[in-house]
Amino acid sequence: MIEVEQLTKRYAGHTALRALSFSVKKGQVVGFLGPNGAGKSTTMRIMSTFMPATSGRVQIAGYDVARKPMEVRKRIGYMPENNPLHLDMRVDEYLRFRAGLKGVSGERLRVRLGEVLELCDLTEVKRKIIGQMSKGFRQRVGVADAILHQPEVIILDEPTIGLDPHQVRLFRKLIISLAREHTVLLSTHILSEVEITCDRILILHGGRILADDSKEDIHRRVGALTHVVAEVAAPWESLSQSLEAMPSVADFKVEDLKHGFLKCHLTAKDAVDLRPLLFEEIKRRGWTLRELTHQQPTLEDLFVQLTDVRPNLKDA
Amino acid sequence: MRVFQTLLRRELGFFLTTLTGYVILSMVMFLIGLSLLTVILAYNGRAMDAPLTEAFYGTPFFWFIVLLACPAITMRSFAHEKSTGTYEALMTTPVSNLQVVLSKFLASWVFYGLMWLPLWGFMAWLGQFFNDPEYLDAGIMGGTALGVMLLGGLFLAIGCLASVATKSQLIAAMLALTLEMVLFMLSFVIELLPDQSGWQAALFGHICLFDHMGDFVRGIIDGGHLVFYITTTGLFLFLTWRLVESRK
Repeated sequence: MIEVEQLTKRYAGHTALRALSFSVKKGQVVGFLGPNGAGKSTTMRIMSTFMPATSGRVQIAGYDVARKPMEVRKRIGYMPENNPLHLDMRVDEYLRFRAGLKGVSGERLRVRLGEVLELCDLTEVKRKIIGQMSKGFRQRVGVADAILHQPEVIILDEPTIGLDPHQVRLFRKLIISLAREHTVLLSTHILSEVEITCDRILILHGGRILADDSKEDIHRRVGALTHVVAEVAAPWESLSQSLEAMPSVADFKVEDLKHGFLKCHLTAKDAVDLRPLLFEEIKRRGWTLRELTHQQPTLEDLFVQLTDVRPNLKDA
Repeated sequence: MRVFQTLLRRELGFFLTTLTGYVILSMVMFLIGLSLLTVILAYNGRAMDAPLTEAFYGTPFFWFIVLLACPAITMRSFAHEKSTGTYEALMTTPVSNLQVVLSKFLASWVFYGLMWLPLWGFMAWLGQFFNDPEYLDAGIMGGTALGVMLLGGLFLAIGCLASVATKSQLIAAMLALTLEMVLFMLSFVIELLPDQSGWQAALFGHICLFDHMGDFVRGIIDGGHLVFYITTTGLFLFLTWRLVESRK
């Protein structure tokens, strides 16, 4: 469905994309993961025909974006970065306007409008002025617009940025429901998000693909980086011996918290969940446990593992 | 065609549903009102010696309106969409660059036309008090309207070019005003030339906006003037279109 070959984009002074190549099959949900400046938006802008590439080729649904931009535009639903909308318009008015641009009219418009309003949970606010709506609603308007003409490929640039956790959850559900009929490409810098919604993850850094992993691979990588933290009241020596004896523990570190409690940080082998094993061990020994959590790695941790560079994620 | 209509409706809708449009309309109405007052005071108790349209054109407000309103109308056309990002959303739908340029220009032009409506109303009202229809017949009205629309078309095309060149509405307005002022100032050059028969005189005579409007308000439609406005407006729209195409 999407073929990207040796895509390069140079701006005056710097290179945003360096010979990027990948392909996406029909029905896949692919996540672009990377910090700011990794080249996510640039790639999406080229795919959406908004910007020409310096060299290389992109084909969407069999059409070259540089040679047949109109054919490509008919087949993509694109939500640009920061989800730009006409804030002076009402929701339904805006969607009708966008439908007009995309060639959806008459009976099909009436049906589709009803469908997307329902799917994106906008039916009740359709007469509201977009400028007066919250970020979460606006984001849904952006997605409603992107899927309005039933495009084969949906490209969403940072769709969950600035949403609160509840809205993010709703949004994920929406993306997952879209995956049944469309090929979806979305970008984000939040690791857990791609883990949940995407079948495949492309990690970009400095205009290159750092990793191209299936969901399972990413799970494994993430699992390998997942820490389990436990606070236990136990003698130092025997706790260390017990942990060493556990076959699933790859590495551990123990620190003294005073008042008789020790804090241990554990990493597992092969993405095994250490928590039940650890709990069993502590119960067997009759020690007291006051905390047992597992800490998801951040994107930064994953990057460190992949590249040994610590990207600046602050403004991402 | 349907896409073009959608774009045009949206562009026009913006003027008619937001404050921007009404601010421009009220500013222009105020200036038209002032010009009406000036005409009435000037001819109070005196015999008319020229068409009414020429009397209106003779007030200083005519050029005020054209020079100020045109940049105000076009400044947001591209710059606003670029700064908010909606330009990216627009340019990734199956619309051609030419459709976008023409719809923005045409919507500005239609709004510009609406803006002048009060003037024709005033003229018709004043016309009732004339005994001699020669001072306000259909030809004179039509010629004036044509001149106003052609001049506006040129200035609006300049404004579109200025707006596509920047993300800032303020810079777009300043740039458009500057380019218009250059054209306006060049119209004075013909008067300053010592030799009125050389090629310089022919050139500056051809681009003299005052000469053009002077003819139009008397109901004279000169083919040369038409060619001037059509070619220059076309040129600026072409440049706008090229800038849209060259997006990097």
